[in-house]
Amino acid sequence: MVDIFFTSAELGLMYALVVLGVFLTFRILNFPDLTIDGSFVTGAAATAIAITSGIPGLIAVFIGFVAGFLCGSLTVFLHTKLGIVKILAGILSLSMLYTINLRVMKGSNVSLLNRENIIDLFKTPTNHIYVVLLLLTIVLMVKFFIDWFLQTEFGLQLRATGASETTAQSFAINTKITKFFGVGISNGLVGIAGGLIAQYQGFADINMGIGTIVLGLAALILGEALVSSNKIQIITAAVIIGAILYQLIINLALRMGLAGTDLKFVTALIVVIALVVRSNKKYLAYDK
Amino acid sequence: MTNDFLTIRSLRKVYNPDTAGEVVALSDLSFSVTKGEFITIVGGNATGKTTLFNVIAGSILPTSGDVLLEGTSILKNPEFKRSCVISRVQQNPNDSVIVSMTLAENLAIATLKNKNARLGNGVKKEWREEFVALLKPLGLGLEKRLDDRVDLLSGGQKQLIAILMATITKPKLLLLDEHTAALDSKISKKILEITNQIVKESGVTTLMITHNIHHAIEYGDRLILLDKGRIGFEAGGLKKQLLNVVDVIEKLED
Repeated sequence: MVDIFFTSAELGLMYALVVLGVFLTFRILNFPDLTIDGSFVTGAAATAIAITSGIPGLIAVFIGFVAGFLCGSLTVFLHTKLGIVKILAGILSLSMLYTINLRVMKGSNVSLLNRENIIDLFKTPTNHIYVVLLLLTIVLMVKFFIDWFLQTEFGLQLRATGASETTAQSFAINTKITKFFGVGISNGLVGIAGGLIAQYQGFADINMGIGTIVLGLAALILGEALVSSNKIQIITAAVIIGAILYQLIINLALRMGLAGTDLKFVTALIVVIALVVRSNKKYLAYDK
Repeated sequence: MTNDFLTIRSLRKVYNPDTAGEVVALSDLSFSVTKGEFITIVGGNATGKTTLFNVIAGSILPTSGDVLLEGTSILKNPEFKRSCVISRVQQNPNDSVIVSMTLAENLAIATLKNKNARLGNGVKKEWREEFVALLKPLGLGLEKRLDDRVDLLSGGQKQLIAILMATITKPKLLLLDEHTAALDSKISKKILEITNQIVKESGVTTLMITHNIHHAIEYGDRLILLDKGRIGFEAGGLKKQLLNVVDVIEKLED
């Protein structure tokens, strides 16, 4: 039973980076970015290729960030330069990324077996605590970065862009720039998550990103239901807890005998319950 | 070389051209504004007032014609670039402020208007002191609410903040688009008095759209009445001072 908590913590912390990315785009920037399913795989693919090329795991994670950032840039380019609506830009990027990811991996997957990576460095056969501490350190660093970033001059402009693009432009904010960095950083975080998951499971796979956006949104809504605050620092902490809680519920559902195919129903149920809880708390959403 | 600060030259804007729903919002509209002038603009519904502001601010492109600021065409500049020198306060109190951010953050965004945003603290300590000094004279206690979200303020308070935000960086041109229309008469009067004070003290060139004929006559140096997208009537100086409400209403109904 203890295992289930550690596994949930490990997966939850890795997916917390996805949730923080989703928080940046969907909540702060008001940009429904569907690139995430693709940038997750790109991050994993870039990290896996880097590791197989002999690059240390920690640097490979940074490469995953850069790869994810580029995926987000592609979507923003389609949206701001070519005038394609946000959702369609994300879908088109996602479609392009499928091919790009296959090219990057030179196949549908890359194995990391017998390759040294940062998860393996901290993993012992009997003890998960060091991996959890490693992931917790990474996630907290990202959380504090986001908390700080959104309070900077540029961060204020990014938040203004998401709150009202027209009003932001009336204050001389170049919303193309704010979107570029906002969506880029979001996908960069998703890329890191992809890279960590690839190292955790020992391979990167072309289909590993399917459902990432749904998972991210579900955990985000779950986390938001936990708090009634508008403070960014509290919300980012809540969504990290939401990500872990989500994994815990999923793992418990599996342990109770539900099949893997039942998980989509469980995910939807989690979202429904979280939304009802939030609604009943008369939650004053910060994106309204 | 003329003294014209803002020149509206043969401006024409047609919505849905060559369709059954074609609407001519601006019809070869031309006028000039001198530096520091305060112009009130009146007109019935759908006479092109807001369209004129949208074209000047860069929200929409005209069908033809030009807008010159200090002798240079600004039509090729995107809205965000024009915003460096042109400020606008909208009719809806929620459209000129970021309601989901705090009062201090809103004022900081306005302060950053002509600066390159960096990764320094968004709301600097010295700025907070400036914001307090700016808000205190209003006598509304807003200086104690710097960390409150703007959506907790009343409509009148939001419009006051919007005016402060629009003028904090001393723009070259101020566009006030029926900025008191959504407020009750008492608040509306107070906001107009503050607006007038800011305009007089800063000397900013101002165009103000209003449906209130009293306000259009009482405030500003010149009154322009728009009719079917062109100037229907214009009065400045002594002629404006001698105007009465009935005169203007008659012109509106002509």
